[in-house]
Amino acid sequence: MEQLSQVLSVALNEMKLIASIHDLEQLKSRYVGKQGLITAFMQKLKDLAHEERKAFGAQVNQVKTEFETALVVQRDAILAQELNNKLANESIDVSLPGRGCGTGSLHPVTLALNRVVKIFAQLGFAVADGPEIENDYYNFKALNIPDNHPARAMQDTFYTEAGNVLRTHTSPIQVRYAETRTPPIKIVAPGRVYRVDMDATHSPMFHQMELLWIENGISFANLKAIIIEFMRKFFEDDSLQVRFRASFFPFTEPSAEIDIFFSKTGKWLEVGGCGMVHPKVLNYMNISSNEYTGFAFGFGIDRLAMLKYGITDLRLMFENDLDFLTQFKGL
Amino acid sequence: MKISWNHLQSFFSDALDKNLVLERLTMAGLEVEEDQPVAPEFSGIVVGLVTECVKHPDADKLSLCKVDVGLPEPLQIICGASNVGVGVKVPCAQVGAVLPENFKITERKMRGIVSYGMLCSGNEIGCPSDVDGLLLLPEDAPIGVDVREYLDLNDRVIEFKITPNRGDCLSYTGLAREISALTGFKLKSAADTLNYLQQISSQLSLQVAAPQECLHYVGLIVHNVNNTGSSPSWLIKLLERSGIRSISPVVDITNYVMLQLGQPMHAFDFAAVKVGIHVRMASQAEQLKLLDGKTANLAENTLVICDAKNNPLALAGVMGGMDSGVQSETCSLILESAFFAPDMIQGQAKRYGVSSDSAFRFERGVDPQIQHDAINLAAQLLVDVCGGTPAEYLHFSSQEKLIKPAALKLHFTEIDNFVGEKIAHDQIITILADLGCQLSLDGDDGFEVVPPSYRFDLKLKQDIIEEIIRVYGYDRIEAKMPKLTYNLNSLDERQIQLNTFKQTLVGHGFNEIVSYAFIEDKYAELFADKQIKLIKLQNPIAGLNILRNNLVAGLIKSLQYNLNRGCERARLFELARVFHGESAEQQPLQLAGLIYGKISALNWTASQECVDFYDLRLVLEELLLNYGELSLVKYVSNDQLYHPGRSAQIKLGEREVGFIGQLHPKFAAEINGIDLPYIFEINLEHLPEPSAFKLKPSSKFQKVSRDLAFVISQETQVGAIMQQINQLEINELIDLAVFDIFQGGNLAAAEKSVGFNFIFQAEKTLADEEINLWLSSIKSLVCDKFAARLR
Repeated sequence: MEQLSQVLSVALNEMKLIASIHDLEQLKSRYVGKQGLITAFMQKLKDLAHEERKAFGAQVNQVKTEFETALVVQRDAILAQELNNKLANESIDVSLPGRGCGTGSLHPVTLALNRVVKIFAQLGFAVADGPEIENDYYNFKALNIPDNHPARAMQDTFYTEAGNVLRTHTSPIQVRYAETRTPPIKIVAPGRVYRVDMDATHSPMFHQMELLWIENGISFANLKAIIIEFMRKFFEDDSLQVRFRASFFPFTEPSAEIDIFFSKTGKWLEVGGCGMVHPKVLNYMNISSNEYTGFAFGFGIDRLAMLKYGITDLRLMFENDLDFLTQFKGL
Repeated sequence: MKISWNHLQSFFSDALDKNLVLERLTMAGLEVEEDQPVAPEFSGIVVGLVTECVKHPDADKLSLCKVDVGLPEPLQIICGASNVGVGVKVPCAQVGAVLPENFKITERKMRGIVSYGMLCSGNEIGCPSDVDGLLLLPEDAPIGVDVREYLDLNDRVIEFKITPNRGDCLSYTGLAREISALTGFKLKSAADTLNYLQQISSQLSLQVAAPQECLHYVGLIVHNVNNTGSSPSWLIKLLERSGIRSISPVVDITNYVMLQLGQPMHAFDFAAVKVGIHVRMASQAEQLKLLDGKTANLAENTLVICDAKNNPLALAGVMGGMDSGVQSETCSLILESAFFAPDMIQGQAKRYGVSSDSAFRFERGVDPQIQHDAINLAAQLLVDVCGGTPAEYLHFSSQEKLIKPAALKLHFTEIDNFVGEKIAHDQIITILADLGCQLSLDGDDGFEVVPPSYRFDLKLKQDIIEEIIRVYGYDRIEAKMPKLTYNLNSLDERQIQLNTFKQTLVGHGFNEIVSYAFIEDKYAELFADKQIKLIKLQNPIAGLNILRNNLVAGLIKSLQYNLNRGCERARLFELARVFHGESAEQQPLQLAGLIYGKISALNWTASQECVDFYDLRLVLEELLLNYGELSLVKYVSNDQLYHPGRSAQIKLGEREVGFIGQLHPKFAAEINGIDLPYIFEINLEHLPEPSAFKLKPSSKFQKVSRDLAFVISQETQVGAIMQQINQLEINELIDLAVFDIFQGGNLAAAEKSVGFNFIFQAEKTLADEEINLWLSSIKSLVCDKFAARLR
């Protein structure tokens, strides 16, 4: 009896020191295998008297059960430990930077332009395009800017040797698009435009976007609503203040400059021009000014992108500095 | 247009609220560009009379003065200026005065003697003058009066941006009129001037041979004019504050009238005119030496003022001639006040390379009704300032041809619809009346309006509506969304296509650039496509005189810029128009990209290999995935833009759509980097329509992978072998890849080994026999066609 409990306690002590499944299996066969120490007690049973046999048998079984229960516990402990060791060995420095080729970026002008096109696409506006070397007719005459008119001096124009112009605005696209179509006409026309001007705040090439809506019953109040909504959606600020200042453009009448209130500086900032399409321009588009009205709206995409992304120097837009460009990743 | 605020104020009896006025003008289309004080802040400086002036006993260059500033006792002031002396009147800063930049005047001991103030130069009080030393004030300057008031230094100079349609606002009178209409401040009634046009000249004749161009001409002879010396200070000051330099009394007077009324004027030396004036169109080969010294070769459609012998004296409305202008000794002159047709004057100043305030105004239009008022005002001033005696006058008018504002009929509903808001009828009437229009009501429905003579810009109904809402206030009109007619647009496939290209490139690590459409000669020489004639600009800026015919120069310039800033790898692209001609069809959109340097950014494991042709080829393959069968054909161009052994023409089926390759090594010095970049160019106008998307069925059965390696000659193009294998049209061959290229070892020098991997799959489990059959047909094809052997 005492022998039996001594064997168990030795076995359990030995078991506690075992750290591998293999050693555990050996221990198991040493005690409960065919030749095992505990098994040996079972074999002694047959030498015992009938009445003793039953009690002793029960005791041996209990010891065996205790041993096997402990064995399962120890096995689980070893497996857990082994897993922990494996995980510990496999751990890496997650703080190292990632690697690979990485993605690129769209130019902020493209980002701004995509935003504008998306906003107006919701109202059913199509995108129109046109050539950048323009003739006098589309760049000036059809926009009610006659030869030698002082209004021409509002835009310093590049001329090719053949006498054509680099378009000074995206407005020629209006006429090109509308002259072969009938209202309703709803387009946005983005593109590169050119003026003879180069300093800290002027680039000889920049981007403009023209918007044209000609339809029966379009009013000046509509023009205001569309522009205000657009500015608010573009800048994600539903309380953005937009004001309209009377101005002059040969191709619109009435005309207005559009200012937005820049809360950082507390100042109004000019962002574009707009107006009701001039009857003469409608004429050039082969559209009756008695039947239809419309408005046009033009603005600098570079300016909008600069405001949107906090770019303070126009020159950055055309230097193509990768330190600048890569900041627009993911946008 | 620059103005003196105080002078503008003098047109009104009540004090104007400057901020209100400037705000209203800005909102109504006369934008304020600048609003500056004429002098910096200073105080405590008065007119002083130097009554005594002796040398400082202990300093050679200092004078010890007594200065009368109207106090019981003169002030003792030490002065270092050389032009100080008894009897001069100068600005005197008393103790307690504060000069600009907060410089305070205190009692100060100078070499043992106390100075109780300071005598000032013009510069010290922000009024620069040509004279060295103290600012000498006129003899009649009242002693003790604050210099700011005496010199009118509390005035401000305001600059307006006047749009080309508002020529009527290029004068004080015009601006005052506009302010009155916008704000309700009442104008003072103008002082009466005498009428000096009393007797038509008998000795001088006036002939106008161009009555369509010169619609109104008034000339006045004035004798006994004293044009020596300088103009009175009030005149000089007003001109200067209005941005005009003082020249001589006569010229200053003509400029004053122009500023005051908006009528440009000219004065001819009477002696130069001889016996008459002849206004006509110039004839070819005539010359005229202008006031600014340039000689103009006159063209036929230029209006000129000539003498009676038909010699040109002046470019009408633009600039006078050198020989007929007034000199300081001129004592008899002829004043000219005319109305020339705006479209006659437009472009003339530019044509002759001159600019003048006169042309600026005539081009925009002058009030055709003010020529008499202007000449009378000028005559009055010649009498007052120069002691002149007005004499006979010359006159021509084709009044019936003068621009007369047309009457316009408007309906109130028409206005409401156009504006999108109902504006009260009486308000509309009041606004137009305030603007000087004549109105007659047409029942309750509408009205007829005749604009004033100076508002020649009001020609259409829309012009009148603009006037109404401009004065009413654009901001008062409620914004209203239009009633939409909903029709869904079809998607703009072209835009989607362009965006997909950009997104694909961004996914491959490319950064989009925007570069100038014009390039310098040097870059055109290096990188432009020599097969295409270059388009040059007449008036380039910063040497950017050639319109690019491909996008290469922009990519290279951007690469250079970044290399100079220490960048080691770059992937750039641009999508833009290039210029192959000047018609709309000859300005195709191109897409071009460049890769350079290491494959990936510097990091802690990956090999730091450089990109090569095949890195870029993959990008190209993915860009053009949906545009048909891509093939790259070796192509050597004459310009040698690309490395001849590492470049190809990009073809989609039979279409030639662009180029890909490494930049030619001859540009190594330009790039000055670790390697030469690889570039692709695609002409987007040459792309076929993208093929419609078609989903391939995917099989659930096992894929079978097999390899074959062939030994072929070095020159054999692997792409050609792949093309041949694909032409076998084995439907079950779903993928073909090259997994190995090997040279050397036991291969002959002219040989290479290529390992192909074949993936087979079908709608069933494939049997080995089938696969072997295909493989053997591939084997025999390759061995026969390409003199290959299995390895």
